[in-house]
Amino acid sequence: MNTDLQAVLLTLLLAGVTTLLLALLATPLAWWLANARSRLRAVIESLVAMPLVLPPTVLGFYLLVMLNPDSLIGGMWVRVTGESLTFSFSGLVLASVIYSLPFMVQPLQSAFRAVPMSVRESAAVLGASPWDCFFNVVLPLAKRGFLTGSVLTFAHTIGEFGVVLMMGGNIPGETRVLSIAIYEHVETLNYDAAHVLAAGLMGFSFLSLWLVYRVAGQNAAVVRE
Amino acid sequence: MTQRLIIDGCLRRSAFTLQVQLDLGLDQPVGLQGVTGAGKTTLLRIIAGLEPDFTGHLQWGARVWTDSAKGISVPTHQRQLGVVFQDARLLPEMTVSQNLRFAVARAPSELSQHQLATIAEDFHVGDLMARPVEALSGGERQRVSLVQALLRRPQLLLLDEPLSANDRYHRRQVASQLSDWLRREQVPLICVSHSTDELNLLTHTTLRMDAGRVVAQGATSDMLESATARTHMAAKILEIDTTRGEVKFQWDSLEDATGIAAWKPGDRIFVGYQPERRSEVGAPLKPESEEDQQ
Repeated sequence: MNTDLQAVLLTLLLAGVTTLLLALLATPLAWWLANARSRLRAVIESLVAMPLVLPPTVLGFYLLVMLNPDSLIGGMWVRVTGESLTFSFSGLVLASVIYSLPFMVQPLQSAFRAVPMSVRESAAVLGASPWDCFFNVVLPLAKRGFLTGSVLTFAHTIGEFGVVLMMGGNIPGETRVLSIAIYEHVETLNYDAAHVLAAGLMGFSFLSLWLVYRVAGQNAAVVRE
Repeated sequence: MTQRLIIDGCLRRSAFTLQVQLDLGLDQPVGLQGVTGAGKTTLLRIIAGLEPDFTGHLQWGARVWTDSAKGISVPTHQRQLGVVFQDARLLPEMTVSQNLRFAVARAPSELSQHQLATIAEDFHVGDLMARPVEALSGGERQRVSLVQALLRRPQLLLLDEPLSANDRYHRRQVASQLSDWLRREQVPLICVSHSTDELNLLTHTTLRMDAGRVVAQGATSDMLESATARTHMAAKILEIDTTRGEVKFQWDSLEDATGIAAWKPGDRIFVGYQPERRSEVGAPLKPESEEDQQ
C-alpha cells in the first residue's frame, strides 16, 4: 500500500503541475484562437485537437523519439538540467501538457469567444487599454472556462496511461502513476489492490465531470467538436 | 478655445457606403438626425475609432486621430471619449457601482466619493448602485451608461439615442441635468436623437444624415422645423384590410413627435387620403377609452 500511496501522490502532483502550466500556456493560445481570422487558425486548432484523436501510444512513441537523450531536444535538456526527459517526472509533465492541451484550450477558447465584441468596445471607450481590458474584463468573464478547463485537465491527466507507459515506464516515485500501478496490480493478479485504486479513480472522475457540468450549465460540451 | 472635429473619408460596406467631409465646430453641442440606416451610429463609431475599415482623415483639434494614408490610428482608449451606445452596453457581471468605478479609475482626474454620489443622484441612478447590471431596465441601463460616460471625464461626448428607453419623466429630468452638466463642464457633445425635445434642449446646431452622407446642417430649431414642414405626413400606409378593419402602416421615426409609436392595435385613428399625393395617416384620434370618459 505504501507504494500505492506514493503512486497516488505522484499522480496528484503531476496533474496539479500540468494544470497550472497549461492554464498559463493555454490562455494566450486560446485568446489568439478565439480572435484570429488568419488561415493559420484552422491549422493550429487541428494540432491542438490531435491528442483527442491520436492513440496515446502514438503520442508517447513520438515523444519518446523526440525527447530521448540522444535527440536534439532531449540532449539539450540533459545538458542544461543534467537529467533525462524520458523516464523522468519532468518528461511526464511535458508529455501531460501536450496530451491534455485540448482539454484546457477548448473550454478557454469557447469562454473567450463568448465575450461579446461590444463589451470589449465599451471597456476601450472607458479608457481601458487592450491589456487592461483582457485582465479586468475578459478574464473575469471567462472564469467558468478556466474552471472547466482546469477540472478537465486535472482529471484527464490523472487518467493518463498510454503516454506514461511509452515514455515514462514504471519507476516508483518518479513515473509510477496511478494508472500504471493499477495495470501492474492486474498483471500480477493482485485484484484487491487494483479495485481500491480503480474504484477511487472512477469516483474521482465522476465527481470532476459532475462539477464541470454543474458549473458550466447546460450549454457546455466537455469536448467541443 | 475652438473645438473642431475634422472628418474626411469614407467607409464601404457591402450594402452601405458612408462618405463624409465635415469641418465641425463643437463650441456648441451638435445634434445628428436622420432616418434609421442613414449612418448616424456609424459616424459616431468612426469618431470613436471603432471602425477599423474607415479610410481617410479624422482630426480632433490639433490631434490627428486617424490618417489611413500615414497609417495613423489612435486607439479608442486613448481618445478620452464619453460614449453612450444605442444599446446602452455596460460591463456584464458587475454591479452598477463597479461599472461606474471602472470609469472613474481610468479617468484622467481624481473623483471623490462624494462627487460620485452627487452625479449618480443627479442622473437618477443613486438607488441602483448595488444592483447587478443584468437586473436593470432599458431606461436604467441608459442612465447608468450616461453617468459612466460623464465620469470618464471625456474631452468629447458622443451620445447615440441616450434616453430613448426612458419614460417621459426621466427623459426630461435627465436631459435637463445633462444640459446643465454640459454647460458647467464645457464638454463638446455630438448627440444622435430622434426626439425633437431632446435635440432642442441639448443641441445648438444639427446635422441631418441620409444614406451615409451629411445632407443638411443648420440651427437645431430651424432643422427640426424644416423636418416637420417637409413631411407633414405622419406615416405611409402599406395595406388596408377593409374586411377586418386593419391598417398596416410604416412611419419614419423622425416623425415620432406625433406620438405614433405609442399607438396600440385597436386604437382608432383618422386616415386621410389625397389622390395627388400618397396615402397618409393623419392626426390620431383620442384612444377609445379616453373618448368614452368624455
